[in-house]
Amino acid sequence: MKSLAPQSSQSLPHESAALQVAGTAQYIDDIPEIAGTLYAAFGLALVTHATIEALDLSAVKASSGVTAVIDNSDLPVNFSYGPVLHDDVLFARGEVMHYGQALFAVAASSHDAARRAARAFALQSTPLPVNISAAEGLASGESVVPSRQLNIGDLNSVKHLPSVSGSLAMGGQEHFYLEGQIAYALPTERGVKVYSSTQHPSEVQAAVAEVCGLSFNDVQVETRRMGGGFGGKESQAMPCAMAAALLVLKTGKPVKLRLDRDDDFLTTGKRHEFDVAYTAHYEPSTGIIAGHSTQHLVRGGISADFTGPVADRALFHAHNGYHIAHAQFDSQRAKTHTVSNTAYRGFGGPQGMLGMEVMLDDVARACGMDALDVRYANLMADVGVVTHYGQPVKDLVLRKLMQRLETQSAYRERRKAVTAWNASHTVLKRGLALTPVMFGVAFGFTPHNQGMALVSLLKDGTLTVQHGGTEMGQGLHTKVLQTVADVFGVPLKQVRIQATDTATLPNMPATAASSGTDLCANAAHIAATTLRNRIQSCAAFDANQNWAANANAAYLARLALTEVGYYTTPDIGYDFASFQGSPFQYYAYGAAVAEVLIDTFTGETSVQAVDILQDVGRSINPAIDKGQIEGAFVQGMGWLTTEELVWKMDGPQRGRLMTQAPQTYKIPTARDVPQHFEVWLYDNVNAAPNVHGSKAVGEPPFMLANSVFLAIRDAVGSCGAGQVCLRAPATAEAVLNAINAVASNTN
Amino acid sequence: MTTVTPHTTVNTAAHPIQFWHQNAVQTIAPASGGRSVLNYLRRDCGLTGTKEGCAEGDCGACCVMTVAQTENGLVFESVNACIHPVANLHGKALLSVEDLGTVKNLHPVQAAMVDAHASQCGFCTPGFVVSLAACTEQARCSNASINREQVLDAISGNLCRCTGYKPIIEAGLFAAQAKAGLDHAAINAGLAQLNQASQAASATLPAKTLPEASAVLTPRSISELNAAMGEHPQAVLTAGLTDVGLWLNKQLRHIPVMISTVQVAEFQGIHHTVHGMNIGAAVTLTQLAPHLMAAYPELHEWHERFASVPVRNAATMGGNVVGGSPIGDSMPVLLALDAQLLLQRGEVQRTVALKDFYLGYQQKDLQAGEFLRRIMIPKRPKGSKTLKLAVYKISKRFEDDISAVCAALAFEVVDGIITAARLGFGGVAATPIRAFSVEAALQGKPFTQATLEAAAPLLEAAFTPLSDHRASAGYRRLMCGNALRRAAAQWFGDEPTRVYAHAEGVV
Repeated sequence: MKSLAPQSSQSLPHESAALQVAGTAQYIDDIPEIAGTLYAAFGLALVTHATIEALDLSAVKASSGVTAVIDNSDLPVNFSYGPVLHDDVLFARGEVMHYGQALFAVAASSHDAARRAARAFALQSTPLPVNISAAEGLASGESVVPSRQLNIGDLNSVKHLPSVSGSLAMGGQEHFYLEGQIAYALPTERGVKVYSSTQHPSEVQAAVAEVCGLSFNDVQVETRRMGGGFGGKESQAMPCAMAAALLVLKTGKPVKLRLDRDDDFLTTGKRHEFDVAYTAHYEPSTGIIAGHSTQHLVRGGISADFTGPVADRALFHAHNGYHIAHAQFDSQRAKTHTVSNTAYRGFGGPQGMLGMEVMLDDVARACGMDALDVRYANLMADVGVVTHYGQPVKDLVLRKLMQRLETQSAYRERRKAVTAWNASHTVLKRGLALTPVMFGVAFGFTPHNQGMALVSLLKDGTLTVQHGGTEMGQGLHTKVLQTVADVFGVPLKQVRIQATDTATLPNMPATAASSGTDLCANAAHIAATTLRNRIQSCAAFDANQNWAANANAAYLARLALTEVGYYTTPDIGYDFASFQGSPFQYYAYGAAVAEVLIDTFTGETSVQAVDILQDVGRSINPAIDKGQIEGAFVQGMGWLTTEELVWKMDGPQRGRLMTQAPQTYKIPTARDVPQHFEVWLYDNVNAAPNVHGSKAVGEPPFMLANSVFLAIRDAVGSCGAGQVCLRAPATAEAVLNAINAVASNTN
Repeated sequence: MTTVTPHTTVNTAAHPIQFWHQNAVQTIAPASGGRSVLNYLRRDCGLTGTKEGCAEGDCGACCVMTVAQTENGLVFESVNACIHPVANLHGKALLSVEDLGTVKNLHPVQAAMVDAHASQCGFCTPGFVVSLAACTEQARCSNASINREQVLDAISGNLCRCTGYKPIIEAGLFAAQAKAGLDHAAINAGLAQLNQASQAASATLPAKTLPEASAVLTPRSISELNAAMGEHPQAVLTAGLTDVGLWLNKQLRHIPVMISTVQVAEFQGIHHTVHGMNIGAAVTLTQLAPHLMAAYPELHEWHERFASVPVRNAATMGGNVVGGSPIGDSMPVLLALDAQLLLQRGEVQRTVALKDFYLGYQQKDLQAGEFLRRIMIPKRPKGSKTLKLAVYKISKRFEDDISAVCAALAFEVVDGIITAARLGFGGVAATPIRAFSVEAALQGKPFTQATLEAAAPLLEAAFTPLSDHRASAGYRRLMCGNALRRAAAQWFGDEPTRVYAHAEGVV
């Protein structure tokens, strides 16, 4: 039996790549339908906040092709659900809480028949006051979860220093996974089986069971792959699955519920909007921020969803990789009459970090220093550092990483060129920024940090592996396959991934928090190693024979050819109440340089060049890791430039989302990506024990796009004097407003 | 593949719809002609490689390829299947991702996508594969090479949320070097067979009916069009369906009968006369582009930013003009170029200047039963009279976005004096509109930077635009003025004025 060279460091293609390019990779809407399948749609409220006086569904029921309708009367009394608190409702109950909230669901003979019927309801309602912005929500005294205040050091001791105050409004972000929310539910002998496009099959299983009044073991949830997730298919996958399952029980037929893109925009949660306000006290000669007070005003939407942990993670990352001795934080989590905001790649980290980076930028400008030098001056010392929440940092490589990127990207030379250009040009201005990222890896809620995997050797020598994680494109399955293949010394194609399935691996956490590979590849490694060792311990084991022969030998010897691996992340834990401890196993580091060009006539921006250096530990698959870095960066760039969620702020439909489809909500296209887009992996091995010495890569690089926003600020700043005030996203209009504001300062 | 009885009976003279798909001539009844190609593939044929991402032609997950035989050889184009009716496939071959290659025998584009790690979640991937393959297969027809710009253009209608596009662009460039690809001879043979079948087509052909579709009449001449319109006065006249497709998919509007103009012989082609350019009402934006840009190279950026390749492959300028949206991108340019419309009703024709065509929001000088036959753009002035033209589109995203403001500024200049100014705008009023008062103020003035800059404040006061999700009223007003300021800087200044590198140098 010849062992192969290790594959767990190679740029192997995504395990589904050939299927995907050929169009034969199966997504849920592609599964051959069982005869009699019905199609469902939600009926959506066209008011924002109102008391429900009467909901007349007779025309819905009479609509062509309709088989069944479900509303609150079909649910357990006072049914509620939610990922953290159970304060979400499947259908508006008593009050409509946001524009587009589901009122009922209908099943019909076709997708369009269901959608058409879903619009035939008559709702009588009485308008109630509407809060759209977080500030409005806060003013009316409503929050979705309690606020949090942190006091670090003694801010009063540095208040004698010069100060700068500023604010930053950050918009939300639609996930825009290309495959919208979908569930396909089938009747089974005692319950339902649901194919769900979800990052969290176990949670979908629980929600379906609870809403249907079934025990968990009569509900099976299977997820082979998602067409994108990004956090938007954790809690947000539940409503489609619940409604489809209820309709299955009501009709006895298979039911598919696929949201039309507009309905997806209207009904599913998004990245949290943050309004950040800060006052920084600094040493003018060095740019060191001695202390600051910062408020995060978070728009939660109608319910808690993940707002608490998102707002907390914003606080964890509010100092990014910097050490600031004295700080006061006030984090307010407002309730608003907008769709409940949810998990989105970075999970509050981007908002927390960007607030810090903008504060540093203001200080640099006030000191007349290059912002990069101010960043260096404020970086954590390289040894013995403890974060503001009390976690010791073991492998602080950020300064070295930034210095290497500074050299590789020729930052100083380019700074000179930018300055020279701006001195001699009036129409187009350039901007440059290098920003770091230090992102903590692990679920903030410690119990979620567990993974399980099931590895089987089959008698033809092939292997199957199943684990608790889900594949949404990030390459998790590929990395797990590489890990298992290496344990057995077989080529990747000899190992197959089985769909994630609660029938075999229930009680799993979401695939989220960048932790998929850490949890699942570690668990798979444990399972595969135990299994291999057991087979090798068989008296009949013959190293000169292939795995088929050895599998048969082990079978005859009555050795189990299947093994479960179970993994828990070591060395983590923190105290929620005091906000102290070690929520993370380790940190992933990175830095990016972005150069932009802005048009002072229009505010249009073009990203001209991007250089990235990212620490992924020892990469299991450099191509997949680079793909995650590039994709995360561009997604972050979209959040900060063109992706603008606009709610109607006046008139009868105040609170309606006006950017509810790709026609009006603009994620980056290929043309927005600069031709100079270099990504390097920082040569490093994870100091924490982790599979193959790797580090997580899903979320950290999202925040590298902060460099784009800071580069735009830099360019805007060159148009005049004084503080730059630029909101995110920096649309052309926002940039032009900021330009005009600084330009008027010179007069 | 059956069988819901259509609500509407169509006249027996209606032409069946015939196209080449899955190695056979497919014949579809006119009563089913409005079925989207996406539903046809996914639901009627069980071919699920083509995905629905948005159902409005904005994401490209549903891109499929059409192939047509023309006098210049095969023409490969990508279109958005979600808003493309099967009626518009008539006379063409339809290829979806499944027709390009298989897992064991990948098309060069598919292989390059694997090698470049260009698929992550994979949901957008078939659309990218098709868009890139349409580009590479077209290039193979003439052994042409493909550069980065062309790859970017080819995928301008495809959104990817995972990769950041870099590996997709690399895959496109790599695949462009491949010698292998689709069997063009087989496609030609299939199209020849289709052509034979349609010659023989008659009422005896067994035409398939498809569920849940509008009926589509496909007149092939103006006389047939007149007859169809007479028979179905309530029918909606359509062309590329890139707008009407959204009425169907998003508003769920019930349209019993549509009359497609794409086969009307008199609506085809671009004809150059001594007076200018005559553009048939059914000419697509893609077909028009080379003609327009030969005469007006200043339109390069405008063209590139006008929708996306798959939309431009289906959409017509005629449809854009008759649709009359205040934010359509054709009209500001056509207003600046002083275009005329040839309208016809029955046999009666009349010419209306575009500047007089729009009467109010969604109101046009178009009578019941009247249709647009062609758009006429006057010849570009030469000799002592020169035309200076600048077009600026302002939108949140460079590509495939709807304008907040589209400004088209044209000046006829003789001996350094402005003899005529035509300033066309979109996004600033209830209709596409010209700034007549500012034009009048500019006429007779010397064509100088100072003249243009002095007129900028007048333009800012010329319109009372609305605030909406694309831009505020104040920003829109400012963009009107800044369009003139930028044109002044571009024509008279000595520094670059455009953030988009590829937008420089064409003017």
